[in-house]
Amino acid sequence: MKKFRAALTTFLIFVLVLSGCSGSGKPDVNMNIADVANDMLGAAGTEAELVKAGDKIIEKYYDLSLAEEYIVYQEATGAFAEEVAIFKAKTDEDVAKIKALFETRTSDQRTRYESYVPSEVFKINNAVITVNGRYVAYVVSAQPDKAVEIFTKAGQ
Amino acid sequence: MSNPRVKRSKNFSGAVPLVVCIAVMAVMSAGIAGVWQKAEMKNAEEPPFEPVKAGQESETPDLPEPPEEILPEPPAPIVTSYDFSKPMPEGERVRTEYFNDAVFVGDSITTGIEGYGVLPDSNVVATIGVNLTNIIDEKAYEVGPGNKITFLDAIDKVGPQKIYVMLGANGLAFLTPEQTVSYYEKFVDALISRNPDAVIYVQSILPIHEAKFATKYQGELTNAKIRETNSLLLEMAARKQIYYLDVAEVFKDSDGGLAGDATADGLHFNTAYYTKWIDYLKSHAAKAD
Repeated sequence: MKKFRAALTTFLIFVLVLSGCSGSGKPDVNMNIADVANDMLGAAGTEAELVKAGDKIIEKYYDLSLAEEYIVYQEATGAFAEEVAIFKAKTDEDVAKIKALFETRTSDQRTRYESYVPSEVFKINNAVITVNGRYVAYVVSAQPDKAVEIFTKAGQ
Repeated sequence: MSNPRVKRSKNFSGAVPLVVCIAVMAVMSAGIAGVWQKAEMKNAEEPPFEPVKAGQESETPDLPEPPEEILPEPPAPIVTSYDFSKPMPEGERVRTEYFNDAVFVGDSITTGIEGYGVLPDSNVVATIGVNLTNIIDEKAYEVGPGNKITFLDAIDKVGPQKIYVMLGANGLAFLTPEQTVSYYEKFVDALISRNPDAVIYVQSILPIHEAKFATKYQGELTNAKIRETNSLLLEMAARKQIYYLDVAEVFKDSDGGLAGDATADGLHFNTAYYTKWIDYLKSHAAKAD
């Protein structure tokens, strides 16, 4: 009887551990990126009105082959450095690559705006790159925290 | 014991398709022969094509001349006796498709054409912060993550038939009008050299909202300086025999500057003004496609 109880306990622990993870090792998160990005835009407190960027623009900065889906909002003329983006990586390995692209973007934008519109640089310095499952979000604004919170709670 | 009637019947039914096939082939052969004969009689006076031998290039046969009505017309001159010393006057309105083989070259102001999607099928080679001092040599145009090329190379990739240039706003706060136009001229020379068949339009520098500009950007820039520079750009256009478009005229408010409600930073403007801009270009084109 003791052996049976021990085996049952071990089995239950095993099942509980497994249920906490998806097969990919990342938490099983699913979100509607259009809806989440829209909510984030409302919370990001951007100075400018951001517009949804088309592929011609996005592929200049980001490798779209890494993404299962993506959405990017930017100010149309570049007068403001503000940006809200969500990428869903194709694989777990792509999550790190997408994060790296956002880091490069931050660095490039800082260099660009330091000479172009220095008053925008503090927003770039506030940039947040955050991961939720296989989703990676990028927020550039004066106050990105609320938008980031919306993203981290989404799909759970 | 076998049934002879059944056996005979089987033999007969097997012969019927054969006989029908032979009959059909005979009729077809007769028909083809008749047509062939007629064709030979018709072409009797025409010399036959020479057979092509191995290692010998096939000669193009002497084909009959195409009917006169389908011959392509020689291209009409774009504009006859055009006075390049004046801004392009309003003319026949062109359709949006006119811009499909065009490229819009410029700085952040021009990026808005792509950003707002006002001409989704056109090409835009523009980037934030580019100015006349770095546009020729610097790899300033992003074509992919970590991949930049020069503006001239990016324009080459498009292979445009029309080139719309709008530059000068960036840097004018730190350069004189003469210096600005001197740099501009070098860029135009490079464009002409690399795109000899393209129609080139130089667009005026657009007015700013001076008070808003001063709070956002470094350096001093006034609408008076912009107007002075535009006058020199018009003279440059005349020297180069390229078109000058006074786009600025649709952006000016009653004071000659950019309207305050059109701009957040004094330099860039909202989508309604992009629509006005493209509308102006449609009614100021060198030739309707």
